[in-house]
Amino acid sequence: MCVALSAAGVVLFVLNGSSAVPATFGSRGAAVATNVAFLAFPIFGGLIASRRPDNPLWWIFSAVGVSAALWLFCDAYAVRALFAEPGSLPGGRAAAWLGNLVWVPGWGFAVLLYLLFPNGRLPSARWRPVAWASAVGTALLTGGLALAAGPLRDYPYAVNPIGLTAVPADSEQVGILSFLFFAAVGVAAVSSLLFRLRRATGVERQQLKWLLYAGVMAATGIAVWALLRPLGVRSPAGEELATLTRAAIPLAAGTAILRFRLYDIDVVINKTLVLGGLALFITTAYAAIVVGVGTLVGRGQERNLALSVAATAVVAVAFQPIRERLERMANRLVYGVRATPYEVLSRFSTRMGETVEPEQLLARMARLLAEGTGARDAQVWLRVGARLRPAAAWPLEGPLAPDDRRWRAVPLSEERLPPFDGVDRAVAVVHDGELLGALTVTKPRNEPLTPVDDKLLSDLAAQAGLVLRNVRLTAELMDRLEELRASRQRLVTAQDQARRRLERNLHDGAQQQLIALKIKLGLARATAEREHATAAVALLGQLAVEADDAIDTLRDLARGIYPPLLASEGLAVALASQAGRAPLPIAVDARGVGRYAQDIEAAVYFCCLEALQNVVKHAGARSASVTLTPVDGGLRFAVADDGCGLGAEVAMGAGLTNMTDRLDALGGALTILSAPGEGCTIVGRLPAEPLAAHPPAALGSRRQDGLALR
Amino acid sequence: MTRTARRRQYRAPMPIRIILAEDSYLVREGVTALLRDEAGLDLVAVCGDHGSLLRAVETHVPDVVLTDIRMPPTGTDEGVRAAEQLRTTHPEIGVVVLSQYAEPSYALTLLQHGSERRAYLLKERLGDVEQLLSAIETVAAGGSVIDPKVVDALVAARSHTGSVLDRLTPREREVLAEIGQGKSNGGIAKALFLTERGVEKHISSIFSKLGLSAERDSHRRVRAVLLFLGQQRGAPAG
Repeated sequence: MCVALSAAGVVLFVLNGSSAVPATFGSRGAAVATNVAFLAFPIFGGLIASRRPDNPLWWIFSAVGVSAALWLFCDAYAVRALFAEPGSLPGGRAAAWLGNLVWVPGWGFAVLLYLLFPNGRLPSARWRPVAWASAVGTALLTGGLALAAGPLRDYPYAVNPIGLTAVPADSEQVGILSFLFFAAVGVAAVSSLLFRLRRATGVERQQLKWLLYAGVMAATGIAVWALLRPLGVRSPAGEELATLTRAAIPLAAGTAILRFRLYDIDVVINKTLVLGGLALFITTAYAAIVVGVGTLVGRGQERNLALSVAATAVVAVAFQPIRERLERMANRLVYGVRATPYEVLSRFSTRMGETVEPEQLLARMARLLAEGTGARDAQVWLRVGARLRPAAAWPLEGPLAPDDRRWRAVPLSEERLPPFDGVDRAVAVVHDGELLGALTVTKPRNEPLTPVDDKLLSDLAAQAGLVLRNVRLTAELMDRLEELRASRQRLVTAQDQARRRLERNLHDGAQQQLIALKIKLGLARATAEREHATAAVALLGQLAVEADDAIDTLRDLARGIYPPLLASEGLAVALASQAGRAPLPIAVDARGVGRYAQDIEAAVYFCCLEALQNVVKHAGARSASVTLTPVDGGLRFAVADDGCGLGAEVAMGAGLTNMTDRLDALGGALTILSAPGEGCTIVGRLPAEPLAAHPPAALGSRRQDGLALR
Repeated sequence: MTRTARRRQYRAPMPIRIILAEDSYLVREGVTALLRDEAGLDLVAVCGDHGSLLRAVETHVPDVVLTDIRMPPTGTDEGVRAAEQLRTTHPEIGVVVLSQYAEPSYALTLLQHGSERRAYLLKERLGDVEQLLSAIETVAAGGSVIDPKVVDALVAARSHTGSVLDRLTPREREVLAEIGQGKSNGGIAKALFLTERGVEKHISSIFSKLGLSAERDSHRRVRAVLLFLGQQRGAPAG
C-alpha cells in the first residue's frame, strides 16, 4: 500500500512538474522543494514496512509522505485551475481548500516522527504530553483551517467552499500562532532525540547519530544560505537547493531504521567534521585577510591580489597542522578518548610485570595495541619454527572459528616479515637479532594509520621482544612436556601391545601345543590300554596329569599377562572375573560402565589389579571393593579395603609408581586416601570417552557378565 | 567303570554327524585323529575359522558342531558367537565350545539365551576322549555341559562373598558342582559314590536352600544352577 502511495506521490510530482511552471509566487518554489524532498518519506515507509515490519514508524513515514504528495498535487492543481489558466480544470476550489490545510497534518506527523524515532515508542512517559499537545494542536489547526470562512490564506483568489462564519476567519495571527506552535513542539521533539542520545547505546545510538547528523546538515544548509544571502551571494535557486538538503532527514531516518551500514556514520561524521572545519578555516582566513585587512588598508585591485596571495600562503602553511588538529579532535569526538603512546607504553610495562600466564600476557598486549591505535583488529604473532602463528587478537568478539583468517599461520621466509593479508601495518618483534614475532593492526575502514600509531607500534614492538622470548621459551617447554607425555604414552601402549602379543603367542603356540600333546597322550593311552600295557598306561596317565598342570600354569600366566576377557568383554567382566579368584571377598561395582578404548581399559584394569595385589599382600583386609564410575568426560575407579591402611613407605612403592605412570601417560591422576587402621582407598581418574558401539553394562547387551543373564 | 560300558550308555543308534572348527593345526589334527575311529561319530567337515564354519554348517547341517572359542577373524570369542548365530538359524544343532579360558563369563554368555544343546569344555578335556564323547552325546540329546573347572570357579567366586552358598554343606557343594556340569542323578551318584536316592535328597536340599524350584529334568537344572551362580557374581557384597 505504501509503495503504491509513494508511487502515486511521484506521479503527482511529475504531473505537477509541468503545471507548476506558471506558478511564480515568492516562496512557493522553496515550499515545493521541501515537499519534493519529503517524497523520500513514503519510499522509506514502504521499505520499512517490507524489511522491518515490526517497526511501527512506517505509517508515520507514509503519512508524512502522503501529506507532502497531496500538497504538491493540490497546490499545483489549484494554481493551474484558478490562476494560471482559470477554468481549465474542474474542482479548483476544492483542491485549493485541501492544499491550504494538508501541510498541517504533515508537520504534525513529522513532529511525531522525531518523538517516536527510532523504535516507535516515546523515550519515556514524561514525553506523553508533548505527543498529545502536538496531536491536539494539529487537529485543532486542521479543523480551523478547514472551516474558516473567507478567502483561503494561501490562495487569496479562492473562497473557502465550506467556510463557517462561527469559526474565526484565518488571519496573520493564526499563521504566527501555528508557526509558534510547530516551533515549540518541534524543539521539544528534537530535544527528545538529544535526551535519547544521552542514554542510548549500541544500535540505537548509531540510529540516533544518523538522524541527528542529517538534522545538523539540513540546519547548516539553511544557516549557510541565510548567512550568504545578506552578504550578497545569490544564486538563482539557492533557497530551493538549500531546502532540498531537508531530504537528508528522511534518508537518514530511513537508513537508520533499516540498519543499513549503521556504523559507517562514525566515519561520515568524522570526515564531515574535518572537511567542515577545514572549509570554515579557509573561508574565515580568506574573509579575515581579504575582507578584513583589505578594509583596513584600503581598496585597490593590486592590493586585493596581494592579499589573496597572502591569504593563500597563510592557508597553505597552516593547512596541514590545522588538519591534524582537526582530525585528532574529530577522532576524540567520534571514537572517544584514546590512550597516548606514552600511556600505552607505561601501562604495558606495568601489566607485563603483573601477569605470569603467557597467553594472558599476549592477549593484554593485543588489547593495549588495539586501544592505543584505535585499531579494528590488533594481533600478536609468535614465531614457531619457520612460521608465524597468531598468538593473541583483540577485540575478541565471541569464540573465533578455527578456520578464521585470524588464526591462520603465516610461513616465514628467512628472517624477514612475510606479507600479511588485510592488515594495515605489520611490525617485526626482534630480540638479539632474532625474529621472534610480529605485531599487526587493522584500522577501521577509511581511517588511515597515523604517524603516532606507527610510532606506538614500533615502540611496543621494541619492548615486546623480551616478552615474546619468554612466551616462546614457555611454549617450547610446554611442547617438550607434551612430547614427554606422548613418549610415555607410547611406552605404555607399546608395553600393552607387547603383553597382548605375548598372550596371543602363548595361546596360539605353547598352549595349543600342550593341548595337542595331551590329545596324543590320550591316544597313546588308549593304544596302551588295548595292548594291556599296564605300566605304560600308568605312566601315560601320570604324564597327562603333568600336562594338565602345565596347561593350568600356562593359562594363569597368559591371563596375568593380558586377560582375553578384557579385550572381548571389557572392564566390568574382566575385573569381576579377577576378583572372583582373590582369597578375600571383593565386590565389583561397574554399573553404567561401557566399553572404552584399549589403552584406557588396560590402564584401569592393571591399576585396579595392582591395587588389589597390594590389598592382598599388605593390607590384611577382610574385604575389598572395586568401583568404576563413568564421570563427566572421564572414567573414575576406586579400590577400597578395610585393612590396616598404607604407610608412607608403601605409598612410594613400585606398584603405586607403576599406577601413577600409567595414568599420567593418559592424562589421568591417582589419589591415595589412607589412615593407619582405617583401610585405604586408591582413587584414579582419567579422561576417556565411552565407545559408542558398546552401551554400558546396565543397559544389557549380549556381551555381559552374569548380571545381564535372563 | 570301563570305557565300553559308559559309551554304550550314551550311544545313539545313528552316528552323530560332526563339524570340527579349530584354527590350530596341531589341535585340529589331534582331534581329527581322536574322532576318526569312533564308530558312533561321523566327522563330516573340518574348518579353521568362523566364516568357513558357518558355511560348512549350511552345507552339511550336522548334529553337533565342535568349535574352538577363539578363531580368526578377531581371535576373541568366535565360537560363542557362532553358537549364538546357530541358535536362530539351526536350533536343532548342538554346539560344544572348546576353550582355554576357565572364565565363567564365557560359559554364561554361551548359555545366556538357553542352555539346551550347548556345552562349554576346556581344551585339556580333549586328552580324555570319554569326556569329549560324553559332551557331544549330551548336546546331541538336547542337554548341556559345563566344564567342572568353570563350575568350580563359579562356586569359588561365590563362596567368599557371604552368600546363601555358605549354608550348603561341603557335600551339597560337590553335588551342586556336578549339577552344573550337566550330569544326571545317576551320573552324580557314580561320580560321588552315592546312591541315586542320596543324590535326590541332596538336590532337593540344595534347591530349597537356594530358593530354586526343584527341576527334575537335569538339562534345565544346569541352567537354573548356573544362572543362580552367575547372577550373584559381580553384585556388591553388601
